[in-house]
Amino acid sequence: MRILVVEDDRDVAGFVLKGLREAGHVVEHAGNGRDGLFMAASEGFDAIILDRMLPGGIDGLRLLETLRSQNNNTPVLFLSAMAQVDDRVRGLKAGGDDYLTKPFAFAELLARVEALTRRGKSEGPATRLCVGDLEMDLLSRTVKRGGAKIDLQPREFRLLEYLMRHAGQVVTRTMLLEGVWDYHFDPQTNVIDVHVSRLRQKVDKPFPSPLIHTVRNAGYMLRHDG
Amino acid sequence: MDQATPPATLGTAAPPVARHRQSGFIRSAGLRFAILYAFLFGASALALALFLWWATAGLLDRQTDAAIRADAQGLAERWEEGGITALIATIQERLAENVDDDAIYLLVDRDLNRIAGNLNRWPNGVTMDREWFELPIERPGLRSLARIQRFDLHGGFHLLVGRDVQVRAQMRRLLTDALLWGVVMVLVLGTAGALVVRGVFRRALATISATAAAISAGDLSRRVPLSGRSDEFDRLAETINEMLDRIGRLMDGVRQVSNAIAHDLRTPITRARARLEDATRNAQSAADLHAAIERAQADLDGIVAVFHALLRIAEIEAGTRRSAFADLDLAPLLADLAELYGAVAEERGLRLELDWPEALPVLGDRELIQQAVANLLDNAIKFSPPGGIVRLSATGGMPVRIVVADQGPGIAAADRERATERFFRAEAARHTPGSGLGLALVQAVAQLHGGTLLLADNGPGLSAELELA
Amino acid sequence: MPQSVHMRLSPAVGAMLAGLALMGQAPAALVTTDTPDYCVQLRTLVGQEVHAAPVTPPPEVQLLSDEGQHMCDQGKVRGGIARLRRALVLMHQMQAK
Repeated sequence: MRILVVEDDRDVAGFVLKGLREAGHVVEHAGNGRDGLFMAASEGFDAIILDRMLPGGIDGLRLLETLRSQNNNTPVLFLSAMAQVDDRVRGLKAGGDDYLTKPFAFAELLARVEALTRRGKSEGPATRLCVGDLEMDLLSRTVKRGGAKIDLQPREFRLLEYLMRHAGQVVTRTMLLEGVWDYHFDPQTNVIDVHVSRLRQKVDKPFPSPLIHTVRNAGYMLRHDG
Repeated sequence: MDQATPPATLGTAAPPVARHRQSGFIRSAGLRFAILYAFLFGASALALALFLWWATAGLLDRQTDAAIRADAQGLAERWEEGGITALIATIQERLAENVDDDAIYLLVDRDLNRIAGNLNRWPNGVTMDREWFELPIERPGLRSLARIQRFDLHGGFHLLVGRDVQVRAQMRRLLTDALLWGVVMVLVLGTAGALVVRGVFRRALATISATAAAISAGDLSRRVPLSGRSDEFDRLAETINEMLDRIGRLMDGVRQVSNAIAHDLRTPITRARARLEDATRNAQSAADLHAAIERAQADLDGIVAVFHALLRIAEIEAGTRRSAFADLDLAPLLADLAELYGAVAEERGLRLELDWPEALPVLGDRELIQQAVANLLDNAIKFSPPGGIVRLSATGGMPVRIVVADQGPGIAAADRERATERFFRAEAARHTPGSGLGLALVQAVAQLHGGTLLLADNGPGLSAELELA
Repeated sequence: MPQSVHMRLSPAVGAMLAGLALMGQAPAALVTTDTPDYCVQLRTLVGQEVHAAPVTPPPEVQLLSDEGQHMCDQGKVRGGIARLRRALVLMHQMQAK
């Protein structure tokens, strides 16, 4: 993927750029708002990582608003040291697609950026999701694996649906909390793990090969090891 | 008030007396009010005086002029009718009948020779036709004043018609003098009244400014006393007292945080540092270092989480989120949370009991309520022994109550007061994971919604009741 | 007439200035109906009217007339003239009826 990182802090930028490149992406960097806007508008990127606070007169919000007003719909992930909910809401209203507060774990950033691009591509309404021999019918709300029906509770269904829509990508616990339960903060206990483990009982255990994998220090991934 | 604006930070111990002297006399609001009063009083009195003058001396003048005009009009008619002869006869007749002895007439020919009237010669300075003049005249042994109007007639005759206004002039002078002295009196009274008003004003504000001064000097426990009259000053005092209560709470919060940060955050920071130092010294392999770094990362994440929670609490307590309140139904919100934590409860062998009405409308902040209830559930599950029951229930109305009850060790009655302080961990809970901010956050959320957090004994266990107004 | 014991203000000042100014010029006009001559004139007039009257005038007329003349003779000219004028007014009122 081609990713643009607009971040003025040299250390953070270096850290992010290095990590993204190691993950196999092509990355460009801008150190201030004006350069960032110029690059974002003139070149095509699959995703933009944008810091809220930027020097040079154009801050992250203004940059995004300008881009969107030019009908540029590149997915944007905001990075911000500001943790207040209002800031997140404002960032999303300005046209942002995701919001991450500093300090963040790189795994989280990577997972979310990759999820952004996936979100962009498969916007068309799907009625079925398939990963390996796992089939999910969205209309009838039923799940089958290897032909056998799996009985899931509504929330388990939505959890599995989220994992399937992000198949092959890392999904962090925070992403699951936000995506499935609409929960925007960090619970103390590992509630997500418990739910995933229950899901695994139903989806993986009775079958030969596991689909739900744990990614160390990051989260989970639904993947067919074919 | 006579004080300079109070300093931006409380606790500066500038003595109020010194500030009193420093502030300018002109800046006194009491003086401004007093000046305003004096001005209004003076203006009203002046207006009254002018009106009186107009109604008396002015009236006299108007009457005189009216009489002169009427007189002239009559003479004009006679002149029209009978020419110069009639005019002369009329003038003589009128003079003969002038009991008040105030009429002045003079009829002269083109060479200013006297034809009729009671002036001996044409006076100086009477220059223009139809013009009014006031001039001194002489009576035998007496100086007097005449108000006359000049008329030029066909045939080169000039006529003066007027009245002796000496008496009236003197009366006018009398009245003017009296009214002017009256104005001086008004000024004196107005100033005195102004000082009285200023005194009243200052006395009314004295209690407030004395209290404020004491508070600025550091005594935050002071409150403005109420006079009991429920007037505007009392309402102001009440508002100020409420504000002071809030400042007190905020300052307590700040103090708590400062103390807590000093104590409770240093521990994990020290631990992380120690681990890293230990790793640099004693690590045998890259794997060891790796592990040490990962543990340090986890420690730092924990510290960041604490900071986030602290900021969150501060944000909630600042009250600004109240403007984002919306109407929401708590029933699905509680159902979601129950479902989320249900799995964890099951895993620990706890039973989760649920009880709330079909619909639970409330005005509030969805995320904050979510987080508050989640904190309570989290605590309940964390502290419950296996096989126990955790009950999540709610009732509607005013206020809405959400209760999370567990059968764990509970909180001792003595500790319940302090349980909502930041970083407070009861002795029994000292070693369980958690930062001790959970209940502080719940309390802040409750207060933002105009309610409170009530902790009670669940016999055994803890019952945490979140009240939302 | 109250004299200038209290403050005199601009009308008085104006009059005095005018007076001062006029002192440098010709004297002020003199009222001619304040003289003993006028007294006699009025007295004569009253007498003429009484004589010409068709009806006997009320006694006040004669009284006032005599009083007026008497006062004029004594030097109280203004008072005398006032009385004589009142007598005339009474005469005219009677004639008007």
